[in-house]
Amino acid sequence: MRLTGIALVLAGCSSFGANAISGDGAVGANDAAGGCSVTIALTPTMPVVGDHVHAAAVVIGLEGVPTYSWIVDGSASTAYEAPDGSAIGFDVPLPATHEIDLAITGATSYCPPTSTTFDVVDGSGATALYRLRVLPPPGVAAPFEGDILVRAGASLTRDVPLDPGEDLLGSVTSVTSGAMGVPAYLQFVPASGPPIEAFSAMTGAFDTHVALATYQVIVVPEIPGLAPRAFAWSPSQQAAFAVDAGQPIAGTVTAGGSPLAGAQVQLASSGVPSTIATTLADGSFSVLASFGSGAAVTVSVVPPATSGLARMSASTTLALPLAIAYSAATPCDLAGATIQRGGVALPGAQVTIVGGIGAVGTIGGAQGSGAVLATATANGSGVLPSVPVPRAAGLHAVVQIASNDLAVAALDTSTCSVSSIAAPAELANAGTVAVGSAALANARVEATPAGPLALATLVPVDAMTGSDGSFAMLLASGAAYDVRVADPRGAPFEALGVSSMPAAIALGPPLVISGTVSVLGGPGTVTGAAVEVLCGSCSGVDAERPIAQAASDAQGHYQLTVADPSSM
Amino acid sequence: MAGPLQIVRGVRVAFAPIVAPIVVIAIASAGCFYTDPINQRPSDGIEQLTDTQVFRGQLVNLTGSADDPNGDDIDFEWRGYACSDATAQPDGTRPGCDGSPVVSSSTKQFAFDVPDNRQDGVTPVRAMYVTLDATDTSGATAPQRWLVIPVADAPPTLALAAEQRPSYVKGIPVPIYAKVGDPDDTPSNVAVVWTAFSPTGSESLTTEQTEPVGSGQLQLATTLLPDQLGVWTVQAIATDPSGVSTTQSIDVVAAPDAPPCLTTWSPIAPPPGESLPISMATLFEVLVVTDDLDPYPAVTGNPYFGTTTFSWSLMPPGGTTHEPISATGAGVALDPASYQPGDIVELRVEIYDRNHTDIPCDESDPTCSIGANSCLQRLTWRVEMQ
Repeated sequence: MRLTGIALVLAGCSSFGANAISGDGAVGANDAAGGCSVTIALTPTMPVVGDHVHAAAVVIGLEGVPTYSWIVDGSASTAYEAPDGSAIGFDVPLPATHEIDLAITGATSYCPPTSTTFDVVDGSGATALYRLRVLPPPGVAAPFEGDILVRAGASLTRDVPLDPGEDLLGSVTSVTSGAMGVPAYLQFVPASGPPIEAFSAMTGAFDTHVALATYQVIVVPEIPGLAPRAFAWSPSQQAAFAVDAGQPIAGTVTAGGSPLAGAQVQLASSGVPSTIATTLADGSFSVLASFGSGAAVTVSVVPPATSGLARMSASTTLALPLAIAYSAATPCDLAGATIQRGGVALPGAQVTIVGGIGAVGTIGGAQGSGAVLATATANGSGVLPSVPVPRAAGLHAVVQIASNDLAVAALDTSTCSVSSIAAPAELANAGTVAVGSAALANARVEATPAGPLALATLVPVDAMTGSDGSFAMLLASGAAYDVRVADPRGAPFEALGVSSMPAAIALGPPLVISGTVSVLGGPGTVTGAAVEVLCGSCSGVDAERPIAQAASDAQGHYQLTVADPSSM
Repeated sequence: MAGPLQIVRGVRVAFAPIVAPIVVIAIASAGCFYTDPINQRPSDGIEQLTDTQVFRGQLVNLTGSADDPNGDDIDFEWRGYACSDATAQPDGTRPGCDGSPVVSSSTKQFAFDVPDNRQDGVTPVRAMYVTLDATDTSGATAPQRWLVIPVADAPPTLALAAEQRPSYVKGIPVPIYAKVGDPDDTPSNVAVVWTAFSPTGSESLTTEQTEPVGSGQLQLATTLLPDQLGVWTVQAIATDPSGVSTTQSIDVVAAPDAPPCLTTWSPIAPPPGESLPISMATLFEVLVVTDDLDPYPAVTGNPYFGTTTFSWSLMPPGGTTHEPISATGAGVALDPASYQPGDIVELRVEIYDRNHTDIPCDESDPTCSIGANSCLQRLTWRVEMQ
């Protein structure tokens, strides 16, 4: 699958004919009348120096006996590797860009000519895998995402012909309310690439733009009493999604064997959530879901703040009733602890206790892992009110003194002897950013919380460099940050999990990824498309954090810079 | 009318054509008189194949037309003289021409490039004086033919362009470029005078930068500061050393600064009254801002363009106002693990260009457009934590 994605990008653009990207790594053209379509499939999909390239015509909708005319880099090629001439082969001994043109004649149906351009790079160096994502302006085309492999010292050209897709008008209705329209959040999840989102109005009607592809559509109704549900949808179907109450999933939450009231419970299966339920006095709950017993589920429990229990989550196979059991534990109440800075109490300080504490109970028989998140505000004397938290070593207190004044303090509640929490002053950090030996002005230096601080907030701290490339910012003491500088004048810089800013940030020489964004079979290039390079191996929010960004210009051209893999 | 002049070796005889057969017959009937065959001289002419309008440096093509009554081969001898004034004096001399030819040829075709200057290397050529001598193989020479080709001074070439931008904003300098050449003069000797005509007047501009470009041309740059709205016309007059000028102009329409527009963002922002459910850490980001001054992502390599200023604020669960947060970049992440399930958080971004026009909407408005159109400067994600 990964290789397929790479091939899609590598396929490049055509010099004539209307090209299309297909799922097998080929680029081709379609007869506008809906007849013959032609693509060229390359093997290997990413040739390197020394490879033998096999180029095969993939023809759909052809009538008659065709004759294949191949041109490689401007010269006719008869180095056939198929008896009917539908494939050729050639060696690529040097790094270069090659163009293959293919014309098909003699068939009854008209097959438009097509071509593809591809790069042959030196395969001996280091490589880095990224994802290239293109989001066109609304309504223009469907989003695109594909993998790109960057090789040391080799800039890339990647033209992106977008699937024009189609406008999709649909509706979300309630089965239980006489087909009444339902306001809902919809997520069209393709086989790969970014989901397409939409909201239905109060009438249930929605309007979006999708590719001509199959999607899993997750519908999350806004109306209580209706369960989120996933639908398989393809372009041949109407986009009419009927939701209902689903089925109740009942269970109990106990702590030390006693019912736990006020705990919030939510399940999810294959990306489809249930509703959220709050336990009653007897610890019972009932959520609504479109899945049932036997489903692989992830269960999340958020206990009431007064319980002093950790949040618990686990993955299990759903068995009804669902038993969620916290182990017996005596919380530690931080009431009376003073929040201080330099021995001076901090009135009004907001404190968030965070940390992971391992197994805290079971969910459906599976071990549940615990996460602490407790918040409180110190009084006018800097003293905390009642804040019950689990007894554990390795917790942290994230103290917010002002909107941009944070501190992170290690916290051990295992013996429940916390009388004060020290929140040292923020640390002044200064440094410079340069490309080579040249100072880089107007570059953004961004520090995103990591570690314990990230459990409380993900809001970054940032600064712009001055004319001399210098910058200054305050960072929370005791905290870790992921520091990034993304500027097209140099290679992106990243230092993860650091407690202070690097004093001298030197951006390496960038490699350029450039190309043109167009709509397949459309009138021309796409202006204003968002083009992002994303991490190829990250997960979570880091997978969505752009490494480099650009917008296609009036000619549809974009240019991004990434780090040379040899310098990473 | 006398007949053609014929040369009999050693004897020049003029006769009328009607008489000639009688003479010949008479000679033949004598029986004992012998003389060499009469070699008649050739006749010639000059035909100019190229345009009669000739500029310095331009190719001139001439061809000699000649006829020899005896059918002899004819040798051509061309000479071309560079002149500042090819007028002949009564004695036949042409003091305005060089004393020796600058080009010569002995072929029937005579092609040459008109030199820029006479042989002194300074005086511009205003005419070419071309002579043709035709001699047959017996040595008979046709009367010398000559041709004076007036040579004009080619005007400078001039092309103007304003720096390409989506629009030209009042008060923002606009680089104006002129590409200057001259087919028969050195471009550096061409003087360029700039004038900017504003909607209400005019002003002179100065050349700020000159650099050679391909094909022997120069690129000049000046800067227009359109401090009034409306059409500005930038005129350039290029004048070569001979005083020949070329005038070109270009219009620049100065428009008011348009507010930046949020164009693409992720994830989707919910319509009023609805909320976006998130169950994992999510990056809320602005992907594209269009603006005539400060777009996002930034345009590189052009100091004219800056980039968008982002202002983020957050309304926490149960809050009533949006509180500014420290982020000034294009994205902010929120993690539902930092909230209670069901918490509603509003994350708001507002954008500004360098003119920082106030966003006029009420705090409670999830979106805002300065122009009351689809160009938004404020966007609010109402997020439900799950």
